[in-house]
Parts: sequence; structure tokens; C-alpha cells
Amino acid sequence: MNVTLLGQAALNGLLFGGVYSLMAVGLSLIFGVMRVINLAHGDMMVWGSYVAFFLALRLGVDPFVSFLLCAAALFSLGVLVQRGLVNRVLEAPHEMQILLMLGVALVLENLALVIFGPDTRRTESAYGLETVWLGPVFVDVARLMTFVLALAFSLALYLFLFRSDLGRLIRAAADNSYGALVIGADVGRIYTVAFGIGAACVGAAGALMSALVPFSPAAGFAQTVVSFNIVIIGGMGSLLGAFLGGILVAVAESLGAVLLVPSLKELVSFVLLVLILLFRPQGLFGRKTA
Amino acid sequence: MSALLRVDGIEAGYGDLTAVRGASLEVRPGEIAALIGSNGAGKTTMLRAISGLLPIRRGRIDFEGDRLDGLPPSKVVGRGIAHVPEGRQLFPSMTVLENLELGAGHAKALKAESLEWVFSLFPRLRERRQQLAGTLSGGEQQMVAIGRGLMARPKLLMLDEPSLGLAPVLVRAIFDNLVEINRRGMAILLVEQNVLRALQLSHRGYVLENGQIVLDGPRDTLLADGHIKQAYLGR
Repeated sequence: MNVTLLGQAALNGLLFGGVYSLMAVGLSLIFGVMRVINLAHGDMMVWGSYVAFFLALRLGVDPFVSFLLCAAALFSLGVLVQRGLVNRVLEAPHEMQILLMLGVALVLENLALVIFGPDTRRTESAYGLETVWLGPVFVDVARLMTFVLALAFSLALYLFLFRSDLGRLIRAAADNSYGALVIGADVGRIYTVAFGIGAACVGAAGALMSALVPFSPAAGFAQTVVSFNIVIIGGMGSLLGAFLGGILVAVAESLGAVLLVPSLKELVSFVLLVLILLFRPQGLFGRKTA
Repeated sequence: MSALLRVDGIEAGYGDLTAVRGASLEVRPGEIAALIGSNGAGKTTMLRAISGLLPIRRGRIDFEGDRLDGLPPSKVVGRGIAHVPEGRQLFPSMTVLENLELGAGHAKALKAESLEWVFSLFPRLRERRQQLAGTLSGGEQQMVAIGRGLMARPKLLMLDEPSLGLAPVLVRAIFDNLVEINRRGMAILLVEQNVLRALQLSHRGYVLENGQIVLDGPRDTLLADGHIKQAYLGR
């Protein structure tokens, strides 16, 4: 074990953290606005990965370009799921919402299985094998691109939420949906757009990640769990928490893979989760609820 | 004089509970009307029904001669009615300025001018405009709630218990503000449990008991009324 190896692992984790952040921000946004946990989040991500895969295979579009198309495709899927299904259970008890979202997850996963088959895929990218040496450590160019693009996507989302009228209304509805109704906001439209954006985030993340990590229809649930984990660690309802939590968990997993064994890397993020729940249950950036 | 708002025999409630049963009232242009009554009399339900937050089961509501009931809250605000709800219902993790600007939804063109007006009414809010609304004191939060309502540039401002939980000195200040707002020609429908103060600044009042209007009239008539004195003013 040496310092260079650890530094390399930390850097790899950091660069991978961008997609984790994007995933978690999407989940956090949906939960924050609608108080619905999108249990189909990881399966939506896998669909984003497949869109990128086929765009690369058939049309030769690099995933580092097509991720925007994948975001748009998943935005549409998110809008459909919200309008058609989620909207009907907003006032329902949590267990009904959970059952519905689990159902959506199962349908998305098995639809992918029927259409794309069970094989593990990986999206081809022109940058897939390039590396740059940075002193003693090397930077995987694909990872770096993923990180930069995920960061740019998050920044664009931040600007939308904090600088545009619709973005402010989404934050207002997340803060106090009754208050948003009182000021005459069209809350139904806000919910639809927010769900669409949450799905777009995870779609973009899926496209970016598909160039780094192999995926298959069955990969979705694990990604849902990771996203959920990050959101709790970062703090429910805090987008900044979700963003930084994604990077933290990715670095922790990467270090864990080196320090322990690679197959135990999830152990690290769950230990992190347990520690957070024990000592800071509101999450790193969450507000205490009275 | 023709009414700005006319509520005619409405019935509204929640589930099996009927909170308002056949209540009627009107607000005339430029006046302050008080809707008073004890806790649970149906005052909040009346306001929610007018705002479109709660559907009415019977009766009708007209605003400036046009049918209002059945419209969603977004359309009601657009017609010129702003609701300052009970408990303020601010956006606590957003700044004071954001809270106010969000209120301007249907009157964006006038945003800068409205903001100036709100800041001149509540100079404290100008100082605190970059502060998160959730960190303000109760009185300041009430100022934001009223300011947010004013940003919509309504013809009618409806306030639900603006004095609730505030120290007497703040209550006086808020009520002085309402008189000043009204001097600019804005009609006000004020819901209060603080009966004496509410009647003192109003032109007319309505007394709601068990979901029905049991008494109405000009301020002085109500202040002199035996039932009101006994039931609400404690003398």
C-alpha cells in the first residue's frame, strides 16, 4: 500500500463522483418537490445508458455528446410517468407511492430485458482508452470528461433553479407546496417539470456512466440504492448535500476498493450511511426537522 | 354601491365536515371588511373557498361581477385577489427578496415598483432582503407574507389572522400598515380573532358562528352590539 495508489484511487473516485452527484441530485429534486421516492431512478438511468449505447452503435454519436439527447429522452419519460402515474398518488399514503414506483421500476427493467436482452453492454467512446499522466498519477480521460460534463450539467441545473422564474417556483414548491398554491403558482405543472428534470439528470448520468462501467437491465436497482444512500448521507431535500454526497460516496467507494477488496466497495458507502444515521440523522447538509 | 366581492350562500368543508353552511358576505371597493368569529367558526374555510383552494359545494362567488367559484387558485390570483394565509406559509429556505418576487407572479411588469412600495411600507424587509425567510422573527415573517400578497397588485387583499402569535406592539404596527395599504385604494378582507382591534380599523364587519353569518353591519353598530360585547369583547 503506498500513497500514490491511494492518491490514484481518490482521484478516480473524485472523477467518478460527478455521475453519482448527478444521479443523487435528480432523486433529491423529485423527493424535495413531491415527497415521492423515485424507486425507478436506477432503471431510468439504465434506459439513459441504452439510449447512449444505441446512439453510439448505430449513429456513431459519442456518449459525451449524446448525453444531452439522453437527458431529453429521459425528461420525456419522466413527464409521462409523472402525468400518467405519480400525479394520481401524490395525496396517497407512502406505501402506495412506494408500490407504484416499485411497479414502474419492474416494468422499466423488464422492458429493457425484453427489448435489449440480458447482455452486459458498454458504450464505445473515442476517449475510452486515453489517459494522461499527471505527475505520479494518471488521469483517465473518459473519467475526466464525465466529471466535467456532469459538473457542467449540475451547474446548468443550479442556474435554472436559482436564476429562472420557473426554477424559483420549483424551489418554492419544494419549500412549501401550499404556499406555492396560495401565491397562484400552477403546482401541477411545477411537479411535472420537476419530475422530468429529475429523470433528465439521471438519464444524463446513465449516458455518461455507460462509457465507464458496463451495464445491463438488471443494474438499475443497485443504482437506485446508491442514489438513495447518497441523498440520505447528503441530507434529504438538500441539492447541495446530494451533489457533495455523490462525490464523497464515490471517493469513499474508490478508496474502499483499494483498502479492502474491490467487491467490498459498497460496504464503505453503507458504513458511511450507518454512521450518518447514528450521528447526524438529518444528513450532512440537511436541516433538522422540529 | 356595487360589491367588489360577493359571496352568496356558500357551503364548504372537508370530507363529512361542513365548516361553512350558507354564508354570504360582500366587500365593497376601497373598504376594509372584517370577518370575525371564534376559533373553528369557519373563517379560514371562507377565505380558502374564495381563493379557490377549497371547492364550494353550494352557492356562488362573484368578483367584479364575474363568476369566481370553480376557478383554480392561479386564476383567482390573476383576477386580482391575493391571500395572506394563516401561518404565513412563506418559503423558509428562500430569501426575503425571492419570497416577495414570487408573489409578483401575475404582475411581473410592475415588480420593481411593487417592491419599492413594499420596502417603503416595511423598511425592515429592505435591510433583510438577502436573509432566508425562515430565519426571521414572527413579526418580520408576517411582513413578508403581507408584502408577498401586495406584490401581486391585487384589488382585494385577504388576510387570515395576521396578528396571530405576535406581541401587541407588533400587532398595532401591522394593523397600522393595513390602514395605510387601504388608503391606497386597496380593498381588504380581514379575518381576525382579535375582534376589537379588527373592528376598530374596519368599515364594516361580519360575525361568523358555526359556519353561518349571524350578524353584520357598520363598525359602530357592531361595536355597540350587546351580543358582540358579551361574546367577543368581554364586557
